[in-house]
Amino acid sequence: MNKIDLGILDNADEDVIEKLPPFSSDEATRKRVLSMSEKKFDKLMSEQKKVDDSEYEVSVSGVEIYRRPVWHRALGIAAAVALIAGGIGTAAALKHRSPKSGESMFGAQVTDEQTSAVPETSSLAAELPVKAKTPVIDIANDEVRFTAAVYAPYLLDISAEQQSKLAAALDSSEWTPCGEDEPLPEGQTFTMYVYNNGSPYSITLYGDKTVKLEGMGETTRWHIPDSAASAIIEAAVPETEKDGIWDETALLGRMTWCSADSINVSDIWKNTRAGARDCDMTNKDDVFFKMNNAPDYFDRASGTVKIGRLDYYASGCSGDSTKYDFQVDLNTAQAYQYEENYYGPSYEAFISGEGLTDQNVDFIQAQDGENYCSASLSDKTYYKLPGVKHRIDSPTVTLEELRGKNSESGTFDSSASRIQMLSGIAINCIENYRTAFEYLSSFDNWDIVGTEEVNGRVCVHINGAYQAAYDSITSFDLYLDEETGVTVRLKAYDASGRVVYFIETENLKFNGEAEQVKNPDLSGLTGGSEAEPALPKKAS
Amino acid sequence: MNGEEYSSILKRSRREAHQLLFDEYYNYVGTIVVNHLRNVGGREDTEECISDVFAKVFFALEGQSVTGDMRKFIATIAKRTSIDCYRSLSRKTERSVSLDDEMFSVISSDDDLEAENERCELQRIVADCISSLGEPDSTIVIQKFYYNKTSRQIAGLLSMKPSAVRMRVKRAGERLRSALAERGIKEESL
Repeated sequence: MNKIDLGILDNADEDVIEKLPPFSSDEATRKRVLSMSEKKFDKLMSEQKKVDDSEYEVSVSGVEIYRRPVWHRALGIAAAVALIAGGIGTAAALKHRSPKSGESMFGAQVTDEQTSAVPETSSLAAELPVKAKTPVIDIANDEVRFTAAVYAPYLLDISAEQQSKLAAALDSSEWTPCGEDEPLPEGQTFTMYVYNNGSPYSITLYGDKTVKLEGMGETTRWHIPDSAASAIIEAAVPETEKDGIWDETALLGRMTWCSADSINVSDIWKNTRAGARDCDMTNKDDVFFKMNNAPDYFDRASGTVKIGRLDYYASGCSGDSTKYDFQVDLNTAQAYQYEENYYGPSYEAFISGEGLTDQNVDFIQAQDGENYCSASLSDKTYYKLPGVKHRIDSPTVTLEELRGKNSESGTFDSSASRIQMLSGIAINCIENYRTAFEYLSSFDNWDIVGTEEVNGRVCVHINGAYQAAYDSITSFDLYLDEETGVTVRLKAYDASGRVVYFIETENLKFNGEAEQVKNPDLSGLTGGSEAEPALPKKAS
Repeated sequence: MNGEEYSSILKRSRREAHQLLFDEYYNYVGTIVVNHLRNVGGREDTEECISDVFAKVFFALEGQSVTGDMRKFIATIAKRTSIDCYRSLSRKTERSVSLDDEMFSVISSDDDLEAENERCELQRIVADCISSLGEPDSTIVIQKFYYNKTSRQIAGLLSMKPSAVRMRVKRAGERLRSALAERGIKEESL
């Protein structure tokens, strides 16, 4: 049919625009536009700060006591709103004019002191006004972490109670600027990093009770009172000693490994699960995203996962399965897994653990944050290898990124999935990227049935068809932990409805409830880290 | 999301506040931007302009306690930014900006005002006719004939098959023509 020209609708008034079906875009475009908006916003903030700083250079002179360092914030709204609120149907609104005092789009009264002339910075910044500054070095509700020699190379996330105490101490302290030539003292330092809503800064305390304040493109030094210095040290090195010995277990779950080259104001935050976002687990995009980024939704986990395969013959069924007992701490990259292997006659037998034949092939896999260790208990050998992956090595992947080289067709590209952090530990359970791609990458083939409790966890139940010419699987039921996206149960069926492949996770616990990571017991085994031995083989 | 809710979320997390505001107003801002740039900019220009709008909105609301409805405020920034983009793009493409251009009509004669009133009235009738098609036809018509999306793209947005979209485009287009004709509007006058 001939195209209908709706150009008449161009430059329409608001009431007409309100009636029109809205413009819309695909998810990838929305994400790209939001990302561009954030970058431009950061630029505006940065330019605003330069303007603020230059104002201070002019207006402040001599030695002055500062109550505390001030982190400037652009609060511009009222003047911009007043400027543009008059409507832009006419050319008059295209010209800049001064706002009236007290005008606000939101009905909030704004004082003259809060508004001032628009500075000429960039084209974007120039359109919005500078307003009053406000001190916001209030860490009470911020994200704060520390580095100190005693627990290097780990970072410490302090407790809420310590954070509150430290915030109060800093809030009531008066800081004075250091002289320009004051040398930096040698000796131990404690550094506190503050996320500050994505504009991070750090405060490094030196032995002479001076601090270096770093962030937002500048570095300054200050003298702080004894009370503030003591509060920083107390938070950085919590009292955890038992009988005069440093007690690491008191800091369980609050330590994060960090490479030396990422200990700086901004990179330090990459060693965290910053990519987690709220997901609507009734939405396929969100389910797929969460499953592919499950490690972003917890720090520590423990449980038992059973993975097995069954073959059916005229005479009956036989199968084999592996049972893994695991504990992991993704912040420290420490993990432990005990692996046992069984033969069994049915799916039910593997799940109940009854009627199974032990293959007597047991392994331990473990990692301590730096080295990976694999031990064969049947061969009585072990080996260690360096190169453990950390959170910073495995960033969050968006749906757009997951499409990878298939971005044109919109399908997903398994090679674009995130880097696996744990070497073979609970691999198809907590790092279940392969399962996600294998079963869910074609959204037309599966549906979200609802939520059900499985093995003590609230799960999203997914039912779907499986299409692979080389496999006997034709359909499946998948149960994902709603909170984390971890696989709790997978049952894959053949055309006759018999289970041919399964994953079953039991005793799944997260964070504070998770069991502590065990140390591998290598006594009586031979091996080491001198050279990589041949991989241990399972008995046939 | 009103001003109070935004301020409250902003105190907790800037990222979350931006995301929620973006999610709620993206389509609305996009509609305004496309409404102004449709004839001068491509897809990239539209996306640039939308991102400019949100950057300005985020910046304007940073650290501010706001109350009330934010829709009008955001619409105003979107319109103004769109007009700036329009001017910039027109310069880039060396498009001559006529003094008669409705966007730049500073001083209007009585005749101009009358014509402008007629145009506004026509816009309202066309928008009403499109709305009267009901969903999903009104969305399909606007996506096809105004936002120039392909049937495949529309199918993706509405979770329909492209063939179904094509069929609905044909039927909805005919219904729109009839609705306009009933109100005495011929297609060539659009």
